[in-house]
Amino acid sequence: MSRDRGQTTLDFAIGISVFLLVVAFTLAFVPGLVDPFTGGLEEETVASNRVADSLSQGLLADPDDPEPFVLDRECTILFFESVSDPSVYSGGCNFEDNRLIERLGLEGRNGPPLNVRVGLIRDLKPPEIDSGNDDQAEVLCLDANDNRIIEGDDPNTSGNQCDTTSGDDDVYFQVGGDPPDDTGSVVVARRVVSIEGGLNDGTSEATLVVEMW
Amino acid sequence: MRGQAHTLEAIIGSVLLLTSLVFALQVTAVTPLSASTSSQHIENQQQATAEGVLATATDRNVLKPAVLYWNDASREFQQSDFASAYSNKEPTNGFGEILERQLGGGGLAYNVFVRYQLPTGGIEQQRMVYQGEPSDNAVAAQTIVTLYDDDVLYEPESDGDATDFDVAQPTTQELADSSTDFYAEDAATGSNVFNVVEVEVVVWRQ
Repeated sequence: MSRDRGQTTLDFAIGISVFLLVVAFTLAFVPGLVDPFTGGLEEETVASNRVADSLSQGLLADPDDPEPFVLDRECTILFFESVSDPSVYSGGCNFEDNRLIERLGLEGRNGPPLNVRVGLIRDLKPPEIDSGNDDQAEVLCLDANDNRIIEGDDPNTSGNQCDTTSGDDDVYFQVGGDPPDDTGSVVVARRVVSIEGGLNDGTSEATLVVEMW
Repeated sequence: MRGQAHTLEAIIGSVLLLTSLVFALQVTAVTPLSASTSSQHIENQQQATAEGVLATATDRNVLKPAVLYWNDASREFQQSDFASAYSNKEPTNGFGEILERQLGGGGLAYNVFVRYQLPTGGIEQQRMVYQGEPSDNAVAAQTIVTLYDDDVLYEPESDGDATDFDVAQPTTQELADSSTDFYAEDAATGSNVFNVVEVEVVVWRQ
């Protein structure tokens, strides 16, 4: 760099590096401008809302006297129990005697399969029936011995009140696969429903959670 | 050597690039499903939750006592705290308990209105819960409650506590009594129906 250009080598180095940095940043940023328009989780969003609506207002309602957002106790128990043990259900409720994916109307598509998990959660308040004595909403469970709905334990194995491994016929109100740990790719739909017959603390409402990914 | 840039030119070029990038950002659209507090998906969940809350309250028979939980001596809802409505707390009855459980936490705010018909035609509104002006992305759910002439007003349990959730106790004051000062009037004097009110829950994210 000769003196007749009025800048030193250092000036040139700083100027060029600033310029190259900005060019690289712009080139890296431009693809992000079209992000809102690229495919996101639209299919899962629509499907999770449809599944949640159909479960809370149709499939689990009393077949003789359906009311929206009121779940029939027996049909709800049969729905969750018959996913792992299809022999317990032989018709009589509003859903069919087939696999979970077929019941929710999610099969028969072109493309990668949709995964779903359906559960009923609630935080039961009084400490003596709040499993784990925390203020967390847990998946509900039917204690078949006393026919009461309590917070389920996780894992629901022997020694706990909700024990699906023993011969008690306890039913854990959650079916489906496990969602991936990457929380950005799971869509959740929630509905507030009322379970006929009530829960163990005298109230009856629970949150129906449908997760899809 | 003569083809090299001045420092000043390099910096001006960078500024130009950044300015055009900022300009291009104005074109970027936020779609209804973009992740934000006003995403359409979240609003759909809130609306469905509000509908479920009203359906549950109707199913448990706590919605009608909540509508009739009126103190006609002081012309306000029982144990309410601001201008005849509840503002910093939920209604102290079973309906309030359901509202608190399902809409209480999680950064949601809600208003509850009771819309009743006037004998002359037209509709008036009575606030039951008022937590402020809803935002632009508020959703609402409604349900209808029919009041009959022989329905009575309800009062809290006499446990001296104005903040806990009581089971609403029926009084002996019927709606059709001339001494009862209810917020709605008898809109159908010739029949057994007193009024048909609409309970609306407006939910928004704070």
